Amino acid sequence: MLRNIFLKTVRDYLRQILIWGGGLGLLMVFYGASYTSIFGTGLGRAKAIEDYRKTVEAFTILTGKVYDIDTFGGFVNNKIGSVMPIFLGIWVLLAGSAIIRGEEERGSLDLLLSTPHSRVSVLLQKWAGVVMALLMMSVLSCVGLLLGAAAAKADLSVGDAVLAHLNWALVALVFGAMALLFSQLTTRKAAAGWAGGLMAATYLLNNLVLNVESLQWTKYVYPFYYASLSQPLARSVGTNWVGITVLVVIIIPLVGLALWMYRQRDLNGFFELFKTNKPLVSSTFHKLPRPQSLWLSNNFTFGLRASLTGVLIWGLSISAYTLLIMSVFNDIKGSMTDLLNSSGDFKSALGFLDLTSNENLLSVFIFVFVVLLAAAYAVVQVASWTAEENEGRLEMMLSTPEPRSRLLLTYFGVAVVSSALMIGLVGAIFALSTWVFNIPVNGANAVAAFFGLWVVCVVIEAVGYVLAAFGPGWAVGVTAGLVILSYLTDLLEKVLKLPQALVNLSVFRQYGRPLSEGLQWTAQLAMIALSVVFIVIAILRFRQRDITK
Amino acid sequence: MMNTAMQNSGQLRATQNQNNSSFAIQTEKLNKSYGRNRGVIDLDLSVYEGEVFGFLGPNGAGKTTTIRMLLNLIKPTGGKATLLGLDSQRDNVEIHKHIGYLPGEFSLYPGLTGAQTLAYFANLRGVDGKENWKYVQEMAERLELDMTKKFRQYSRGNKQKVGIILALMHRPRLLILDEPTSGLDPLNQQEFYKLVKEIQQSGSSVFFSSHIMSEVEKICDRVGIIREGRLVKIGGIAELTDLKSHQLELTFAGPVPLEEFRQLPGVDHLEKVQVNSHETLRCIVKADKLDQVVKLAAKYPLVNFVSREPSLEESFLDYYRDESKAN
Repeated sequence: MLRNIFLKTVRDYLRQILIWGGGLGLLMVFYGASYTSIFGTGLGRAKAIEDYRKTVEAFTILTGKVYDIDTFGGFVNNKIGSVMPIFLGIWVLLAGSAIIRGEEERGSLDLLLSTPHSRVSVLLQKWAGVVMALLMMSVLSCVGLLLGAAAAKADLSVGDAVLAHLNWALVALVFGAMALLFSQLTTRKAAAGWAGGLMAATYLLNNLVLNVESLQWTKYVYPFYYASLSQPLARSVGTNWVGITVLVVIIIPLVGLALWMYRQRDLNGFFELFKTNKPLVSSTFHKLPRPQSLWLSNNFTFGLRASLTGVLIWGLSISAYTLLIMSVFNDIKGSMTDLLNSSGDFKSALGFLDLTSNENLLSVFIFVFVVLLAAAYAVVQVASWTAEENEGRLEMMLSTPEPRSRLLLTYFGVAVVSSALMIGLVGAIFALSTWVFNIPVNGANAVAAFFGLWVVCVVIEAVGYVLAAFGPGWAVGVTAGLVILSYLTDLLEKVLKLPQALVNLSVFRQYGRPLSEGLQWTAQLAMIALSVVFIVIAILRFRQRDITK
Repeated sequence: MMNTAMQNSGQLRATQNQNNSSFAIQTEKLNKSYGRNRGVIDLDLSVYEGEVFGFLGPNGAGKTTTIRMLLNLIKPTGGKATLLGLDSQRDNVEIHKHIGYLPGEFSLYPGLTGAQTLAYFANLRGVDGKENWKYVQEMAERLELDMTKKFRQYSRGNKQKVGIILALMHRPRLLILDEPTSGLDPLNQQEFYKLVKEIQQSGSSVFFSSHIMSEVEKICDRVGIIREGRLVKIGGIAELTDLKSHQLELTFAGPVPLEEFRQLPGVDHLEKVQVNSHETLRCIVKADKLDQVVKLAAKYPLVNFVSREPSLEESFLDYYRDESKAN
């Protein structure tokens, strides 16, 4: 596996292939096996399918158009296939942003390029390694799907399963190629951020235009549109080779452009769209006055300033989605009212919600996602803390007269305040949009909903900090894993028949649906108290342990 | 001339402090083990106030582990260390007010310019005033550091310069440097040596690790050698040099019996080269055994005698070689 750059790249991804691919495979097995239990086999099957179809059709903005829901393939396609490009896309865009820029930031690309390999060869071999890794993940997921079909005794052809995975992998690769391209212009993190933002935005927009006639013309610019043309698991749609070809055609120029920029630019530099002729060395370069900026005055202001870009990007991105929903809210509400009037059973199928209420609708279309995004933001804050140590800055910081406990508390304070700022920004824009679009909501519940988001962030950050106090190298991965587990526990409670005590541990369960049902204040206070305990443990451990770098 | 005077002044102060037993660093049975592996073993070390102490050893000998224990970045598994009379663990925050530290490998904020980085750390250290910034500017000028560039744009050497200025900017009482000249070009290395001597002259102590013997010889008052986690030698530069060997080249007009020289204690790497009718013997001789070799050589028709005083580096390598043989 160390014979060439391609094999080495694949080797580097082996663990991730097993974790991501294996995880997706297990998810496929689980969803496949749940097919029979959800619809049953007896007399009530037709009615169960009809109710289920109506329910999922109400959520096309989240999952895309629904096809052949009465078949195993159509069920899996709707249940998990709709988000498979996102699952694969997250991995591939992180990989795409790192294959060149990541090596540069680590300082290992210089050495790699000192071997007799051209830049073209290095980039293409690494990109081929990413594609191969993605294919291997898809194979694992595909095996899981086939096992799930076997468990459900359903009829699913291997060819359809393979084509479905090919389609998902290709649309994911589009965003990987974008990340690779962006990484020629900016840092690894920013490239991944921009590609991720584009992926999330185009995914939602592509689903949104299904219901909004006036925006239909925009669908041709969304890669997800071309992926949605093929639904190999839904036989009534099948595989659209034009859509698949377009995805391949999009990937090639993106990688080509990235390659061209990479050949033009300096190593450790960025490709400049507009070259500027700055003098190499200023004549007074060492006579600079001392910078007096307020944000340089202490760790807290410094950390807060550093987090502001993230606050704005996350806050505005989430707000953009919120505004989008608010702008078409009355259309969505109208279709929901029609749906409710058409079937008395629909409401009971939904189980909990009266979807003609503004609060309930906004809970489903906005807060279900925003809470997940807020959790992701909290994980990013944990990553910022561990990066201080993992990237070798903490040692220098700890040589200043700053007690470890205060340093940890300061960084935690930055995380907590920046989360509040990000959520506050989203909340302010949300409040403004309810006024602009004339969508009245319960003000107290709205405030509680945003406060609850902040509590979710705080508790996740506290868990992350306590884990980082034991192992900064693995803390972020474990924290992210716990967040996903927590989300799945809340989501799959009924299907998996999980014990209530376990479900109650989920931070998402404790968040609940505050916009419609109000916030469970006892639970929030308990989570804040728990966060304090976690931070005390984190401090005690951090004070005692060795700094790794 | 000025440098020599400064050096003498620093050494004088260090000698006075030795007499007064005023320690900048003192360790007692300091230990660090990583599972079965021992990083540092029973380290007893004293560094006097006002002296420049060189901490020598090859890669993996335990230099960085020792330094990181002194800084309380890693915790000793046994023993204790005091810096400036304060406990390295209990009083670490107070200690950090008075020390400057340059890690062997470090990273800073890629998006900050050199000036912003230095200003930020000055704030964290509570260093105010124009005078201090003047000192920063002066060091930047002497080391030729462009402070307008972002940290990510700096070469390795320039990053090292930022680190050096960060360590020196608040004129610490104790300077702890881990391989400080790594990445610096020879001119900047010389400038760095001057900075170290100046800070010593102002009364500060310097503890620095290195495996570059020439710089240790140039600026250190005393040296400690660490090997496989144990302090194997400690003493003044001259003292260490005396312990070392001489490289001899003896040319005789006729044949000489090689075995007689080989049997002498303290003689190593003996070889004979025949050039026309002359025979040349080359060998490395322990300093305290030199007279025996000279006396034996005098019995034969000696036509040329060359003795070269080895550098600390060569002696150090010999020392390691001999120790390895013994083990």
